[in-house]
Amino acid sequence: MDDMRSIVQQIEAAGTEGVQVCPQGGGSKAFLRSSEDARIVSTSAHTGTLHYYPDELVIRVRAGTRLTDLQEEVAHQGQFLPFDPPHLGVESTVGGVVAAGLGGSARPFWGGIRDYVLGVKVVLPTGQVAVFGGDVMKNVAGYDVSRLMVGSMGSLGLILELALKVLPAPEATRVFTLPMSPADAIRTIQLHRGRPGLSAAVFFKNVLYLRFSGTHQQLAQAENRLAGAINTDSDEVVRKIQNLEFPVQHHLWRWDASQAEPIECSELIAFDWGGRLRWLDSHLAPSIATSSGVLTCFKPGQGELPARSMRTDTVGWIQERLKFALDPQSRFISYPSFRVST
Amino acid sequence: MIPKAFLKRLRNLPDIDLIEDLSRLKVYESDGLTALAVVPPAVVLPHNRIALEAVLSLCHEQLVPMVIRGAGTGLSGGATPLANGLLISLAKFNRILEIDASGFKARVEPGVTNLAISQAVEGLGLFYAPDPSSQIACSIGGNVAENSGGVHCLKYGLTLHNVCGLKVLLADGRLLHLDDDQLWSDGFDLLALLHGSEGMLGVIVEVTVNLLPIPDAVTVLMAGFDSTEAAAHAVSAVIAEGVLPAGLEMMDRLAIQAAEDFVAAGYPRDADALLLCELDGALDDIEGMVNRVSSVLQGSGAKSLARADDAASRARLWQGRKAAFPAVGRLAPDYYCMDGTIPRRHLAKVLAAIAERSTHYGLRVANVFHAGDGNLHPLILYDVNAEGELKRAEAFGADILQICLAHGGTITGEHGVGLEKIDQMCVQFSEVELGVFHAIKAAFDPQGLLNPGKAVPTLNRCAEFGAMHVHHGQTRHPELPRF
Ligand SMILES: Cc1cc2nc3c(=O)[nH]c(=O)nc-3n(C[C@H](O)[C@H](O)[C@H](O)COP(=O)(O)OP(=O)(O)OC[C@H]3O[C@@H](n4cnc5c(N)ncnc54)[C@H](O)[C@@H]3O)c2cc1C
Repeated sequence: MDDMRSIVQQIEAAGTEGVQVCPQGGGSKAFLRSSEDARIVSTSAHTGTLHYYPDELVIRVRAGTRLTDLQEEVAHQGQFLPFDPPHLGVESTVGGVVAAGLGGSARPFWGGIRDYVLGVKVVLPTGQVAVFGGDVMKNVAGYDVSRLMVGSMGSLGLILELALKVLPAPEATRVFTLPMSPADAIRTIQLHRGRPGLSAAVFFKNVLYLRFSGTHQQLAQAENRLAGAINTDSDEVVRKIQNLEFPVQHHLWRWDASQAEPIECSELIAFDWGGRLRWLDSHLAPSIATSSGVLTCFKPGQGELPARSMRTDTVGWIQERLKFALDPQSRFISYPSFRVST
Repeated sequence: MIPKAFLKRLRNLPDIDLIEDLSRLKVYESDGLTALAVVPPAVVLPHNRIALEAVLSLCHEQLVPMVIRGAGTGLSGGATPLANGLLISLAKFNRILEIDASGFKARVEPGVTNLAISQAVEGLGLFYAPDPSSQIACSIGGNVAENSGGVHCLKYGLTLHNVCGLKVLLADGRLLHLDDDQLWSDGFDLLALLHGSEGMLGVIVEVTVNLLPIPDAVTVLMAGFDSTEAAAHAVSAVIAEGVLPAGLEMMDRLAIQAAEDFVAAGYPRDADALLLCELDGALDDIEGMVNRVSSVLQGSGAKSLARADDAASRARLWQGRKAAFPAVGRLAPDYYCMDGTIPRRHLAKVLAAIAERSTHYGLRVANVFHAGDGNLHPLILYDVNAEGELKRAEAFGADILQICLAHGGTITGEHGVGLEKIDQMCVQFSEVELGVFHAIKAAFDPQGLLNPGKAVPTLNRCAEFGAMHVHHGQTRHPELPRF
């Protein structure tokens, strides 16, 4: 269903009234935004596939289309979305997934959302509609605004439509279960890096899960190498961790670090991306050396939230300039603060 | 012209080479788009980052415009000098700084050539995937600035997909460090934004690239067809089969003939279209893939089919494709290389429209085509010394871009906008969209000192050009003839 007219009207009305706009899809990731007093403009009625050419590997959908519907549609053609994002709720929409920009477990192996976005149609903070990129794989006309929208958290405009690159789906999947300490897990992952078909390396409760997705031959090779390890063709356990379906006592922190950064830390509950994404459960800011990487308070839990702020380096500085350049009157919400104030 | 006082201060900066004499300046008068030439008032080659920072600061303080030059192989005039600006060459930034084999990464200076990276890591069993045909000469900094592609993009992606970190100096000398360790860090994807920014947003001073293991097995299939339509259909059929070739290239009759005359690659001279399909993967997998693709090609009407497995015979097949530009270049005194992308299903219609324009202008055209991803490179043959031919070639080129747009494509797939396609930007984008580009530029470079006049047209320029914005293949007055 085409709901563009109503969406644009709502944005224009908010502008006239001087109320800030917060674009929203299914609302499954509402915890990511700062608790600002903004008017929600929902894309959830703006749904449907506009076109899909499987043999061109391109699909264009309206932003309110549910992620599950999109994944089902491409699966029917033997294809998949290689960025395979976390599902944080059945109501998740494609627009919300792209605006949040979160990568699933396959992120280090197959790339992130930004690697598969080809084009967008957006409502700018002014209420004007603009189109960037297109339906083709190669396109360097103008700055890459399509990819700038990925992970912009609704702060630069409302995404109306997306053109995405899809790929042929892997023939099969196998998940290997390897009990070990976090430090051993990192060493084991290192051994398997670059091996064909590796599509997830996830750790939870002293077990390392390695997922391989690819041709039958690739999986047979993996089985040879990991002879003796328990394995199954369901990747449910990997998805549960990717989708944050584990109990958290306090706030959920994410520590994005290089793989080489030592991983032992008492607050660690899980890691993903072969050790580059670490999930920590803690009331206060976890006591880790953040010499490498970024520590962010990602999903607030019970209790008082530590004060959070924007990044203050040159990158943060240019980001603020970008936000101001594209939305000088702050008609749309600002980019959320994730970092602990120091 | 640039102010004398500025030049005087520039001469006093340490660790730079400064070129001011006309004969040496002429070397820099154009990039790969030689039809546009401007002799720069001065060229500076900083020896290191500190020297470069000093040059930037001085330009910033004196409001002198700058053009950054990598290897100068760009095909859209991105590195064409300005008559009133300083040309800054990064040729001396040619060191590989670090190779991290276990992390599958390499950190390099921007002036390192694309091929030098793969050569440096070959012994470790690794390679850097994007491979523009100019790879022996073009710089990795230029690759980032253009988001360059190559014949292996279909499977391995563009430069954007293979770079994980950048260090960038802004026009005011500030350093922007876009991390190479994080796959997520809070904020906007500036790494993506810098790709294809054509020297307009900042100076790339360091690049961290991702490396991949060299595949165990590679096979190239070559298939001849008796129409481009049949070949285009075969491309779709291969992808529908669920195989993702490493490369999938098409050439038309004129390009086949020219390549065969030039390098005798063994192409079928009687074919109207040729497909080169490279498959790679694990040893165990390759035979199955080759069989599947071979039968798809035969089922799609291939009149001839050949395969090459060892490195030497593969190289021979690729040689014709890689030398296609110079080969076509032998057919006429000059050629003009175009670069547009279209949704592949429109290929036959687009080629027919190009052929019609070729007759109209009386200029021959050869088509070389990254078929897998819909990126066309029509090569227009002309003679610059023949009265009016350059103008006709340019008009023909502009028509080709409009044809691409009218079929839902884009005016540039990999060569960039530069100066060459600046007017067509007015056709592809609305005023509102161009306004967004200008806002982004102003956020990075408020004084407009980096590469002014390139890549994004001013609204005034569009008004003068009088172009009508094509939207979703529909122009405002479809009944009026466009060409
Ligand atoms: C024969 C031939 C074949 C080609 N084949 C291909 C191909 O297959 N695929 C493809 O994509 N391209 C191809 N090209 C085009 C060209 O080689 C690429 O665009 C290349 O990336 C340009 O690199 P360069 O170092 O020569 O850049 P230059 O020409 O020096 O500069 C290009 C642009 O980048 C900017 N720039 C350069 N370095 C930096 C830096 N460090 N920081 C900021 N801005 C910078 C310049 O200001 C300019 O706007 C081909 C060119 C030729 C001549």
